[in-house]
This record gives sequence, structure tokens and C-alpha cells, in this order.
Amino acid sequence: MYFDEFHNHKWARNLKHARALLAENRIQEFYGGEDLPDGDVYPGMRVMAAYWTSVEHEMKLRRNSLLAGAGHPEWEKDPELVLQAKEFHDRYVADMKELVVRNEIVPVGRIDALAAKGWETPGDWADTMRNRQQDSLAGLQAGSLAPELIEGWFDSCLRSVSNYNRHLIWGGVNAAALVRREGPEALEKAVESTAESFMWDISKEFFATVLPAAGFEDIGDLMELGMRGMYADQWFTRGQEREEPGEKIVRPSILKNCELAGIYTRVAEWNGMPKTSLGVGICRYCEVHGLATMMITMPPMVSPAYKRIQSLGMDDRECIFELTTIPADDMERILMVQEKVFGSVE
Amino acid sequence: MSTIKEVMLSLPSLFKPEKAKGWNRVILFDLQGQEPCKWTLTIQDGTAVMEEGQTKTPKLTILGNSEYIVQMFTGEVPPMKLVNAKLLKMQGPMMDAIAFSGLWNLPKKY
Repeated sequence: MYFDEFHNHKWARNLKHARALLAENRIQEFYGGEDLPDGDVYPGMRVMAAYWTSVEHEMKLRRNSLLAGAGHPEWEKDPELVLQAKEFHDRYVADMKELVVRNEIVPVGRIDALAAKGWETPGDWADTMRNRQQDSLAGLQAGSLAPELIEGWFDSCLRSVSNYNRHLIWGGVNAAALVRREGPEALEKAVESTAESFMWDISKEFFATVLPAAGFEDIGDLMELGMRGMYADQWFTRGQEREEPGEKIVRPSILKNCELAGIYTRVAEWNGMPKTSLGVGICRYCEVHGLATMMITMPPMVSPAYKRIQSLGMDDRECIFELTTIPADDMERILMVQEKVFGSVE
Repeated sequence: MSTIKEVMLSLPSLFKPEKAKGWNRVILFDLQGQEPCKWTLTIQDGTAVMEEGQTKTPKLTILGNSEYIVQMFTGEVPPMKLVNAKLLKMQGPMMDAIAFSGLWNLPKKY
């Protein structure tokens, strides 16, 4: 195993669980997900496929943002970096092959077949996903899911997992090159100069483009995705809520693992660097992404703040992010977010 | 239990105009269940006006059974519980759905 199984391969646990549900003919749960006795959540095929597709888009955006901030968009085609990214992604795919066999998810040849088609997000991904959703709902009503539909869902998930990690690895390789070629300050500067634009670009990508295309437009669907999607590859727990002076309510989120930190740690180590040396290249973007999400989803009767307390990527300790809400009349935020993310206030 | 008509007509008195500054919208309640009906809510310049039937083109449409709307506005069930359980759907811009949730002085019986 090249990458850390705890950080980088929770997908395998979820897809193994999906197979177990099928073996018990529990197709509703296979598609719709279920809460697990140990406190974990199996998000279900509908949510996992949409979640992993959305993070494919996120990782491309992260990679492009970093190169733009570094002032080196040309590194996209830098032969040394492209080669290293491919080499490291091949290692990820080798892990996937080991895990699909060990967990009896799909025959190992299916990974080769997906690779032969190319990992990149297909141009017709949204139509395909919505067709699968419609066929799944019809199948659930009829009491069975067609085998080709089931395997289509597995293929969708496996391709997305591989591809989003491909872009994530590539971003890590670029971050490592920036540190090697120009020093750690250059990485910090590249991130800081693009954090604000990334914050709104990723929100537009998620909430205005990818999620509606994936059939997640209704607020109930989006809340479900927000609450369950992260369990596709994260071990998540809620921390102890507390009150602070000024009617502040602080809600900590604790992430025991991190796909991004797992990847960046390996990329750093394979480049002969300390394991947290590239962490700022992920954690700062996570912080602004979280802040924007809270600004979008919190109702106007509160004003939200969101910050990183510690993180695996930067501190080598479990990620803790805190959401703080204060009672407010914050309709101005709703109108501002509407304009920034969806493009019009009316 | 209140009727859906009683609840719909009570909405202007539950409306918090100070929360709707700059937010002018037409919202349609398109309801099924025990009392199928349509109601149009117009929020304009800090006032809320309710009309029976679909009288305007809505920006946001709320779909579900009338009994769930009654439960929500009489404070028997938290609104997000109904939305998360998909007993109520809100069709339209996501931010409008978020904003709508903050406009009401709802009683709480739960």
C-alpha cells in the first residue's frame, strides 16, 4: 500500500459495504445510504457518486488556483511535474487494485478497463448520472436494480475516486515543485493570493454548476449531500458545542482523517520533504471553502464565522474546524452570497 | 389542528419584515395531502400578502402535504426536520430557500 489506508482509502470501506447491502438485497440502503452502528455513515450510491464527482471538479480548481497564485500556469505542462504526477497516481491506482480485490468490490480488470477509457471526467457525466438516478428510482419501486445499472454506479465511483486523487496528487506535485524551486514562502504567497477567489470560485462550481447538474438542486437534497457526502471518504465526528459571551455558539467539527493531507504527506515525503511542508497548500483552501459554505447555508437569523483550529495537513494532528454563529439580522449576507455565487440579486 | 387556510392567512402576522430587507419575492405554496390547495405569498418592501390560488409567477415554490405546512407554521415540527426528511420540497434558487427560513416568527411546541 503506497498511500495511507486510513486517510486515502475510505472509499473502499464504503464500496465494500455497498456490495454487502446488495448481497442482502437491501437495495434501498445501497442507493440511499444508512447510518452505521459505529457512528459512521454509509452515504449511499446517489450521494457518493455526486460527492466524488464534485470533488473531481474541486481538485482541478485547487490545482489551477495554486498555479495561478504561483504565477506559473505553464507548469501545467512541465514535463518533470507531469511525469511525477503520473508516477504517483499510478501508485494510487495500484492501491485501488489491491483494495478492490481484498474487499471483493469489483474484479481487478475493471480498474484496467476504466484506466483504458481515461480517468478524466466524461463530458456527458451529468446526463449519465441523472439517467442512473431515474433508473434507480424506477428499479427501487419495482423491487430490483438491473445488474448493469449497479455496475455503472460502481464504475462511476471508482473512476471519480481515481480521477479526483489524480488531480489532488498533481496539485501536490506542483506545490512540492514550488517549494523546491522557490522556497516555502512562495507556496504560502501563492495560496494567500488566491484564497479569496478560490472561496467564491469553488462555491460557484459546487452550488451553481456541478451539484444542480448532478440532480442536487432542492435544498433538502443539498442538506443531505452536505450532511452525508463527507462520509464518502472522511471519518467525521462533531465536537462538544459550547456557548461563549455575546450569545456566540461554537460548534467544532473533527475530522480524524484527511484525503488531501494523506496525499500531500506522501508527495512531500517522496520529494524528500518534511510531511507537513506542503500543508498550507490544502488547509487554507479548506478553511475558505468551509467559510463560504457556511455563508451560503446558514439562515439569515445568524451570522457565521468559520476557522481552522488545527489540521492534519499543517499540524499533523486531527483537523478541527469551528463554526461560530451569532444571532443577527444577516439578510445582507444572503443577498451578497446570492450575487457572488449565483450571479444576480434581482 | 388548524386548517391550511387558517395557517396561510396567519402568515402575514408571523412575518418579520426586518428580516426581509431588500428581499422581494413571490412564493407559491403548491400543496397536496389532506387539503390540496395553492396559495401565493408576495413579499414586497417589507410586507407580506397572501392570496388564495396561484396569482403570480413564483420565484420559489414550496411543495408538500398541507398537514406538514400546518405543522411547520404552528410550531409542532422544526422546519428543517421536514425539509431534511423531504416531506417538504423547495423548488427555486437555493439562497431563496435559505432566506425564506429566516422570515418567520414561528411558535415552538417541540
